[in-house]
Amino acid sequence: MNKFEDIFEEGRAEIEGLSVPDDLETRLRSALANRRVPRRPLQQWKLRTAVALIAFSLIAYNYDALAYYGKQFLGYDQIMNGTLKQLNELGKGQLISKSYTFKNGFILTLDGVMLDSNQLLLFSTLKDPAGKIDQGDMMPRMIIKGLAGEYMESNSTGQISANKTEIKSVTSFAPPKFFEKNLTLTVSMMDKGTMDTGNISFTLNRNTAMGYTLKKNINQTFNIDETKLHIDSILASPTKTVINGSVMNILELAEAKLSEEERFVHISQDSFDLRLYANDKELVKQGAGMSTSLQGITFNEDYDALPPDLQKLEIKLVSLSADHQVNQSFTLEPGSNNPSLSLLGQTIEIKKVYSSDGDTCITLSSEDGVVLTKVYLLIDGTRVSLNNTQDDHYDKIAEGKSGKIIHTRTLHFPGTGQNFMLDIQRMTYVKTYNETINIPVS
Amino acid sequence: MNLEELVKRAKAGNQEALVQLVLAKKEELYKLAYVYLGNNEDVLDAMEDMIVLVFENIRRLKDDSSFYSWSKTILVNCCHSTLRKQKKVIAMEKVPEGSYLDVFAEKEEQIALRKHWAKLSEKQREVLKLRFYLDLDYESIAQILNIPLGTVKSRIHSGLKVLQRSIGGEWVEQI
Repeated sequence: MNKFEDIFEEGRAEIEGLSVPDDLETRLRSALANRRVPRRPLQQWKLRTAVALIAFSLIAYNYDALAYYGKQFLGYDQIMNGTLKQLNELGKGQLISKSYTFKNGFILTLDGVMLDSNQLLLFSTLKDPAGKIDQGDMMPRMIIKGLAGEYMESNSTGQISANKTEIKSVTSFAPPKFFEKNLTLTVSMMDKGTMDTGNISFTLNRNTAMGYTLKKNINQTFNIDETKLHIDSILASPTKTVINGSVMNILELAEAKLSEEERFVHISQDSFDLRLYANDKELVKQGAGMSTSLQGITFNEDYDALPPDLQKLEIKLVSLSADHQVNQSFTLEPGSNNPSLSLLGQTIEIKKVYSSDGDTCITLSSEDGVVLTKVYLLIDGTRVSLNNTQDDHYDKIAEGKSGKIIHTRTLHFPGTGQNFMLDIQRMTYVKTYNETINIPVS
Repeated sequence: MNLEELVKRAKAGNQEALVQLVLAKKEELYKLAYVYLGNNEDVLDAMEDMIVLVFENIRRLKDDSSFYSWSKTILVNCCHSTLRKQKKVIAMEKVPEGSYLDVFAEKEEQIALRKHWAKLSEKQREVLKLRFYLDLDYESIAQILNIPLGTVKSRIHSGLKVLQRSIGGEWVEQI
């Protein structure tokens, strides 16, 4: 036997000498115990066909619903007004879904934008995975950069989710110029004393822009007493309606200055109550702005969007608060027995005249909005200026259906004496006009 | 009961039929696994793995008459995977003083007992063992290993050549 055969012979002998152990049967049975016949796996193509069929039938059946939700911004219900909600439901926005992650882990996602002639609305979500969104810088500053420069945010509404992981916000910007297409949203957030700034660039799809529904130059004026309130134009878009006007144009402003007649010392946004009625129904006011520039004192009043079936549109000046010449003097007695003063249809009650700490104090009350803008006190024939006004308080008084607010305050004049005369030269008050400008709708 | 009927029952999920099938050829299967693994415990483990795999996949067997060659292929695969696992995981008590490579050498010795075997490739060794330890013909080997007949032949031929050179003895044309 040679070596070569040896090699195999030894192995073969070992194998041949083997006997199968008795426990093989038990081991095989125990291995199979608890094994169930596996479910016959579906053949791949059958499975694929089935999945495709199910998906197709679901999508086909719900196509409208999917298309409906496919273009909407979800989760903004609470912070959208009725008009925005409707537009969102119509899928009028442009989905963007781009994010920037701040160094502190906060994630700002630009969910989408909505554009019309009046504004560019940004729908964004700020997320904090740690659930402590209310402990950070909740409102990252936003600037939109385009070719023509920067667009600043004009206002923003937001809401924190119940579990404090996110804030959804709707931020309004002035509409970008017509040629702007590629825009960059710069977001910056304060964290531990340093500013973290990131960019989200997006392309404005002008096809989803909604334009305007009504654009008109009005050029009409409310001529009331000494005041002129110009209504220049109206621009109605699907998201809101804006009325632009001016209180004084630059000529009138110069004229007023020259004649030393400062009628609008106290003019502000609250000075006039301008309302917009569409089809005899008042539209909700959304905001207002006022600025003084070379164009004079201009203002804009923002209202809800116009109804689709517009037939009648009216701007109504309900009231205006303006400053008026009075030039009347009233003798006052120390104590609380003075009669009410009546001037330009307004009533001023003199509650009490007394001295305190070397001052002569006059407590009076009037309807809110009545302000003695130029007033002196003659103490024993000497004219003194008003030092200050203290202890203002306001009381609501029910008067039939509506109510009014009574403003009570104490005027302090330096010095004391025996004879007092209140010299009221100018007064601002709210006057009700209820004048209407009709805007032709065609 | 004949083979086909048992296979049919096994396909229907009858475990008893399957156990009967395996037990009918237990010697063959046991020795086949032993050629690879060289010890009783590993062989029993491999056969457990095999019967489970056979049970779970028997419905894929198209030709009932080829049940055994199909099962053997599965068993050989189980042996391979056992060997692979052994290379990766060495039980602590088995590690001798010195290099872990010795462990494999030792295992090898248990089966081969000859240093010459070390000169063969894994695949050559496998084929030679099946051919000479179990006296399997080329066709059975090809079936079990799921490789072409020509490959079996060439592996055996080249394996024998390596052995011959290693031993230096006279080349015997006996196959």
